[in-house]
Amino acid sequence: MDKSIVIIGSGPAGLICALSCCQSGIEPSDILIIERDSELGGTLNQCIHSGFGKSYLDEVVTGTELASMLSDAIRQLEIEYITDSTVLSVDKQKRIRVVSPKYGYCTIKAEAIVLAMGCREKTKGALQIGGTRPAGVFSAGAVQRIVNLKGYMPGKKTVVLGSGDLAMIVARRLALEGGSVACVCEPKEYAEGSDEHVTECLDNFEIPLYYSTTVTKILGKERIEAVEISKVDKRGKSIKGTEQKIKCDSFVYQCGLVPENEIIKETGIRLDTRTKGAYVNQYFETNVKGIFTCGNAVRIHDLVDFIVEEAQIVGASVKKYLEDKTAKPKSTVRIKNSDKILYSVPQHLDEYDEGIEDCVIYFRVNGKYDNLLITLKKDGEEIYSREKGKMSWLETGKILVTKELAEKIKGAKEIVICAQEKKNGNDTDNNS
Amino acid sequence: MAITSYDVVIIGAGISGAITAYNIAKYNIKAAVLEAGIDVASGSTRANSAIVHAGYDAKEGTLKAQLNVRGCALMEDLTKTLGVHYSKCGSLVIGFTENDLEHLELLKARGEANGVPDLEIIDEKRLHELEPRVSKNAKHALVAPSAGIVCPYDLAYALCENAATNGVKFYFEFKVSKIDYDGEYYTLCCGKKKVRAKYVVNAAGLFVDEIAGMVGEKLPFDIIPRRGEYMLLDKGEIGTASHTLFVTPSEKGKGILISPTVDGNVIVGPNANVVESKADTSVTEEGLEEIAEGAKIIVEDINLDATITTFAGVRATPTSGDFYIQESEKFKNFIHVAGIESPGLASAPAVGEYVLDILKSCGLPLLEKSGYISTRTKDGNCKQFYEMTEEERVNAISKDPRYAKVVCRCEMVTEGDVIDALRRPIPSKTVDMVKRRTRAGMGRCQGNYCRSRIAELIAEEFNIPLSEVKKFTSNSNILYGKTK
Repeated sequence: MDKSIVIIGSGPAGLICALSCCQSGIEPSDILIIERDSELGGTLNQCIHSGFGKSYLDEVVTGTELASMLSDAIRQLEIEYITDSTVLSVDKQKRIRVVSPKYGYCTIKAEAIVLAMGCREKTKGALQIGGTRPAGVFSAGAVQRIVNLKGYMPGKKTVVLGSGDLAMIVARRLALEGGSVACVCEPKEYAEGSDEHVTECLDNFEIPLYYSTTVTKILGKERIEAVEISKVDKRGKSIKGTEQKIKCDSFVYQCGLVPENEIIKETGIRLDTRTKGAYVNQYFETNVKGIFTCGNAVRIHDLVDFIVEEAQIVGASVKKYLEDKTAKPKSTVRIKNSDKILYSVPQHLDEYDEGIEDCVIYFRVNGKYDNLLITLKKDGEEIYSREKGKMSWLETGKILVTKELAEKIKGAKEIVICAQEKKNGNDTDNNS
Repeated sequence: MAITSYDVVIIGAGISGAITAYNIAKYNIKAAVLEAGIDVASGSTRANSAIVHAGYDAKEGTLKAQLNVRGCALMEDLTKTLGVHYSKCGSLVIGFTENDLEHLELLKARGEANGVPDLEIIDEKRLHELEPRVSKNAKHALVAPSAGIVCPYDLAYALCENAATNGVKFYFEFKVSKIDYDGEYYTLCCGKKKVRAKYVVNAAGLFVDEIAGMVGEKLPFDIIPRRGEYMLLDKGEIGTASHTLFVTPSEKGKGILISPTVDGNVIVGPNANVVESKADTSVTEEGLEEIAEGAKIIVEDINLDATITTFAGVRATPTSGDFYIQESEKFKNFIHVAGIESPGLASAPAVGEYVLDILKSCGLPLLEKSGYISTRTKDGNCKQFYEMTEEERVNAISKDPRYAKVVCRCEMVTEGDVIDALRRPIPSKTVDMVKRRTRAGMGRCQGNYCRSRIAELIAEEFNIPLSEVKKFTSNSNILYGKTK
């Protein structure tokens, strides 16, 4: 089977990208969306809480509502999609191996591919908690799925490890369903998620949040019976003698998300070890021409709003690519990061005949800072500077590459994003 | 109630019981396996290093040395017959000092005396060519090309599935608590459940001493439960090692090993700590640190952040240091297969032969079964979707469209594979049983995505409510109940 554009994944990134392709003039019949679940929408379907769609719809709705609005739009345009369908591999020639109830085991040849597979949760293995392996231990995402989509409870008394937004939303959800959450433990000295969530999801439900605390042991033979929690020092090591046993019948952990890029292992797409997503240019095109990527497959986003932006960029980029598949960049500018910058996306800017067009560089910092100055340097010379003020790893920073800035960047082999913490007004420190 | 009589009853469905059942199934013998757990490989066989040792560790002249070398040589054919993943990846014992080199020479001499083929000591340069990630401090290595890797529970399943296909009866949750002997038949009881047999093979692993005690016999050694903890790394780390990597053994023991697994992961471990309870398979913070430190001696930059799960197994270490496989000194036709710690997996094919010889010499008639099926099921060895060729995949899907629905995306396990596992000769009934047979839930997401779907498939198959589906044993319900 041949298809001009194949979008892998139907979360917000995939669906908005498909709609954006159509807006940029691509025929809906040229697009195929492949989804492994039985419905379009991806993780949005299990996010029954509010907080989605601000930039896209101009109103805030639940994840489920956003999923159904986007799916309706896809159906209205008659864009083809196959559900319950799993991509097994993608090769350099843009051949996609897929199994689906509709087509069986088949190969689809595409002209352009958009990788929008989203992300998955890291597992408890990474946490290395001691103890046994009984039933009743879940990741936060699994609980959200079980409760919101299957209508089952993981237990009636739960201990939660991790205070990311997802963990806190899940804790609230369990409380709302009549479960009791014994406590939320956070190894850091502060909450990993937003302050609003601490208030809305935990404080309002009288769920205690223990900082500098982790779960050190899982107890129970068949079904979990208790966990042992311990205080941790600043390096995250548990402190002997602070152990405390908390009875529970379920344990939920959140230890972070990681882009899901397994199916492109053999595609020859270069991955960034920091983001775990592909190296991309400002069009969100990977090093394999005609293969684009957007959403959480690129990097873990804090807000769906940024995913929307990326998906729209990709929609337009795909159209452009299909118009001239042989266009080659005249030059490439690598974007490097100094310390304090966790990562930035895109990892490089490509300059075509028309120069570097307006675009955005997204970045994250690696800590919590009160007064941050962000600069862009070319050969040691500052070409951009912006006072960012307060900033933490929770939020995405943006550098708008305007015509003026693009002019300054032109000709560089690489540019460096720097972050300096300003102390007492003028002093800056360069330590990490 | 009439008691079912068997010619042979095997106590324990670990690797030693499984290989015995497999061997017996070839003959016209009415046999049964009594397993205390709910599944094959519920004890030490479930959690160990998964290594087919070459046979240079055991002292010359010991039964262990003899069976290890023979078992290792038989493993390839056995796994081929049963469609079990096996790889003859070879092993390296790595030396860092001149002292180590001397020790490697000793190991080599011992291995040669034991009959291990093609042993060779290589220098730094060759070592780093073979294993580029190994520490630059490493100076020499003993190469054993005959060593390999195999999945221990998959091998046990395959052996038992073949035995069941050929008529061996399996009893699960049959924890033998009493044995009576009337001079001809042994009657084995588990509460009110009873079976009887003329011949008994005691392959109860950690519990062989307790079983011996039930007929009033004290084995000439004690069984010490020693726990070994492990870390399993994501498939992305497969480049860490292509052979099984050991350090030169010291007074402290064999040390931590790093090995690829047949499924493409990397296994790191074990330590060896004596534990009070034979059932203590918990992991400890200290234990994991010990393993991490040990692993970094071999591969300094090993990426332990890619650990997808940690686990522990308990080994049945005999104080005598050797395998003990013989007929009871007091009771006729009661055979102990005891003290089978490492290399019990590697030795298994030879243990099977050895036990069969003892049964024969006890007078058990061995008449070949007509219509014997050499594979796991009467339809051959089950192949999963991820193992199939393109053509086989197309065929499987056209026969059963559930093969087109991937349920475990990390390991590419389809609903068709899961349904098959629920209907095998020894059927799966719980999520963990499905996991160990199909690999669904064994990948990098550790079942967080597929577990609830697999539970649904089990509930549908056995027509039970979803909240009644178990993780493993009878009180391990996965879900609590419906939401409000």
